[in-house]
Amino acid sequence: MGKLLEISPAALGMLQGYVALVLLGLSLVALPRAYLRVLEVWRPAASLEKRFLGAAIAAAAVVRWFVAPLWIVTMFIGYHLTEQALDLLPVSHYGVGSSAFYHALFAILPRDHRSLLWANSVVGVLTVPFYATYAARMTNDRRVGAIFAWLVALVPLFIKNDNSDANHVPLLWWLFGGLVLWDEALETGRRAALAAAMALFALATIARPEMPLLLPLLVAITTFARGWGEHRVLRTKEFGVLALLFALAVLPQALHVLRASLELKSRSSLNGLGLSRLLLAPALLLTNDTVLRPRLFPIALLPFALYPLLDRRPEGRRHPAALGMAALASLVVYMVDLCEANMARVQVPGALFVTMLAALGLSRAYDRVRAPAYRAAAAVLLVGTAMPSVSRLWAPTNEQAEEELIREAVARLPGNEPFTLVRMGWDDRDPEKTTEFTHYYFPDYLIERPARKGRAISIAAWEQRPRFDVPAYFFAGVRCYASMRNEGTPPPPGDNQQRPCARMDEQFVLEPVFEREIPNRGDVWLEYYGDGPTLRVGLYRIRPRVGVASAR
Amino acid sequence: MARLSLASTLLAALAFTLPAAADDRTAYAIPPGQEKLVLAMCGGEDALPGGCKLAGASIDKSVIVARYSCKGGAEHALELRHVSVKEGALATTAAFSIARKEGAPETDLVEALAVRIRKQEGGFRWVEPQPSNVEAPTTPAPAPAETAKGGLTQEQSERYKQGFSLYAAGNHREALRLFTELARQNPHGGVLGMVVATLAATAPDPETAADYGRRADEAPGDTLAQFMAGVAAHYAAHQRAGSREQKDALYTTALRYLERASPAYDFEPRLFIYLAVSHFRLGHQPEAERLIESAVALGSRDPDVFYCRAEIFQHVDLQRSLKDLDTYLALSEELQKQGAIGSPNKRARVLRMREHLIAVSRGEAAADEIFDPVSPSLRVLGSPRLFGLGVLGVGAMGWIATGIARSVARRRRRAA
Repeated sequence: MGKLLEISPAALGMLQGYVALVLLGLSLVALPRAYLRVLEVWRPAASLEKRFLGAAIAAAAVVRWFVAPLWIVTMFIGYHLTEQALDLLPVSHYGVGSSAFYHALFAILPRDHRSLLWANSVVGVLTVPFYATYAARMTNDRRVGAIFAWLVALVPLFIKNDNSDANHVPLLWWLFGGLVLWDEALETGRRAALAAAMALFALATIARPEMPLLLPLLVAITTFARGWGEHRVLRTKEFGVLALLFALAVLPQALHVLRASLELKSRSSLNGLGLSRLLLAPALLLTNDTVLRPRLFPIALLPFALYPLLDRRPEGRRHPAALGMAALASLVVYMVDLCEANMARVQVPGALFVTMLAALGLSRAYDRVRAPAYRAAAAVLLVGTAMPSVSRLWAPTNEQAEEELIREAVARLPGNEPFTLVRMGWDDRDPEKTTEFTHYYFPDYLIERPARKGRAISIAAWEQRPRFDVPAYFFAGVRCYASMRNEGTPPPPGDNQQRPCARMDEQFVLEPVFEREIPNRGDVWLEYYGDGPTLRVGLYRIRPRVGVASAR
Repeated sequence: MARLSLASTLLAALAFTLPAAADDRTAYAIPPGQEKLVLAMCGGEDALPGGCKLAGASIDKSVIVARYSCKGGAEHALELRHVSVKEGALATTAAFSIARKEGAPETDLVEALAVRIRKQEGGFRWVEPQPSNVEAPTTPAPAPAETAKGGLTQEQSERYKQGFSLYAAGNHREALRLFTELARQNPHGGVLGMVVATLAATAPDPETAADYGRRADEAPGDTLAQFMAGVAAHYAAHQRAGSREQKDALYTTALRYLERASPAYDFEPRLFIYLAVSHFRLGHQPEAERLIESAVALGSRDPDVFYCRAEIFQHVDLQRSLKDLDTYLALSEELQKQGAIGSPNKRARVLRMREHLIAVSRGEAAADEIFDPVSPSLRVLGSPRLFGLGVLGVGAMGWIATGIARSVARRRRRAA
């Protein structure tokens, strides 16, 4: 293992890249096969169930493609993820799977984070049939599958996640496609389904660092739900060979994760791992859990999720227990990320399994409670408790204002001529606050080659070498007023303008191309901004002050 | 306004005056960035005794030549050399000796010039060229014993040897740690060159380069951190970037940090090599030409200086590039005979490059990128189009394999 860890990061990255290329190619065979299985499972269903499922998929598509906005989640990280997807190497610390998927799509889509958001939105809808099929098979009830599809289609947390840059979205597509095929292999003994499932599992595993741990648990739980020891396909030679190939395919990811976690541990930057954290799991599950936060998740789903777990009917215990284990496993694994901005994204898989349980609970409750008034009351309760999350998840933020400003600035910058765009960058960080993560990611790819002939640089770099041989512009966005504080710290007074932006004003003549006074929407997700009511932002043409010599 | 533009013209002329011929015996060199000061010391636009005015000035590595137009159309030229060069001195200051170059300058002019220089020379820097005893790992690196002594204490010299042994044994990370520590105590005597050699040998990728960058940003006053961040970004661009865009971004980063290491490390030829080559690869030809000449002035025994100059001049003076590649090959061989670590791979590559450039000069080959290509395996991963095609190719093969497997299974069933 020590020898393996010595492989250079560059060589490991290349290996991961080629593994992803092969697995993505295989997914072109495996995913259609998974959809065939969906058809196979739903073909015998009653026409009402089929229509119910079809309507859920259509609703998911309408809500995601025509109603909900496409937003970068949390704080500007989507710009960074897009850049990583454009370059592919070095491999993102998450893994290569999702980046490689977007990277391949950039062959035909514009080099823009909007492409990535659209890809996720489409993939999110394409995953709904897998969710429905998996839920139907795990509960032996297609109605549960259809209810689950409706919940996924309409729960705000899932809509927001699908219409974001979350790299979970393709992962869930591959994971649930793989689980659908795994179930097919268990039921029918088809080797081809097994091979296709393994390819999708491998792809899902290389997409996120926690997957080497979570995926085996979910596969084992699915197998448990279908009955231990009853599957001959798992005792065949082919299964052994496929398991070996799977292990080889995910080995680079395992090394990548191991190396990254050792490095983070050595820097004491990985607080989420370790025995002490594990012992705290029960408490953390109660305090830092997306599904227990009414402003993120419709809390009314929880009693329905608990209902099947408490159901004493012997014939109904195995499936809820399996789903409960899956929910628990996927929630515990994601306890590493504790800030609310990340919880709303990374705890989505856990929330999905809780929702699956709730779908089972709703189905059983529907059979038990026949009075229309009670049924209507339950529906109203569900919709009502979803409302707080709508206002929370789509609350206007300064980050959204920045996105609009960037779009406007890009439209106003020279189209066909070289230019320099100065904007806040990582080397503009306050040297006193290098351990806190104010994110300075900027979509440089929108203005640099091959998109445009611009060059994006930080304020520090510009101050070091101001050049006026090509037109120079300064983008003063909301990052000019952002500096991360510890959670719970009160905002600094005023607009909190950062020194580098103030220096630009002092050292150069800034001629507005456009300038706005926008409302300061404050700290919606992370503590960044001051308490001033407005922020002055805009795009400016930079001119030298008379008497200040330039480097040219 | 007219004064300003005349001064700018003179300054530009001075900045881009390049040495006509290399002098390998140079004792002291003039690092770049002092053109304005030189211009002011030589007279600027002021009237000088004898009705003389400064007509132009040039820096020839270790000598400043100032030309004057005087009353009656007389023209004189004076040389400003390091003060240690006493031969033919008409006057001396703390840093310079002034000698006649052409014409017959009046004593008043020489005296006036000496007075001006004495007033301003406090801001002037001479640098002593460092023994060029190290190379990037693909080029020969002379053994340290004979060459590294300059400027190092006995103890430092011992540590240098220890680090060099580690480097030669392939223990690059440990060697890098040792040379980094040594460079913090004393960056002279070839130590910085070994920092470069060991850092390059660790093949930093863009992520590693970003780490170096973060460390440099966290310590803006740490010149070594800036230098290492610049070198790491340069090598990440050269060796690990998967596309031209990624290369451009990394070379831009390299420039940012390397410029922060100047003027503190102006004595180190490698600083100018990486600045020059990064500029060239970003398309800044004039800056690249100016900076590589500074590298030549400081490291005229360093084969890589000529290799890099060959790259920089390949599109503007192909014959000069070929000559520089020949110099590279000759110097490498000479150093290897003196016990340097040779790199047969790089030698073979340079021979191939030479052949290619000859073919280009004859119009038999296109002027392809031969000095800084994107490696084919990285190009597939770095280009979304090639990567996407690869994915489609594997998918197509998967479908074909599935079809074949199905037909075999069907035949078997029929046979059964």
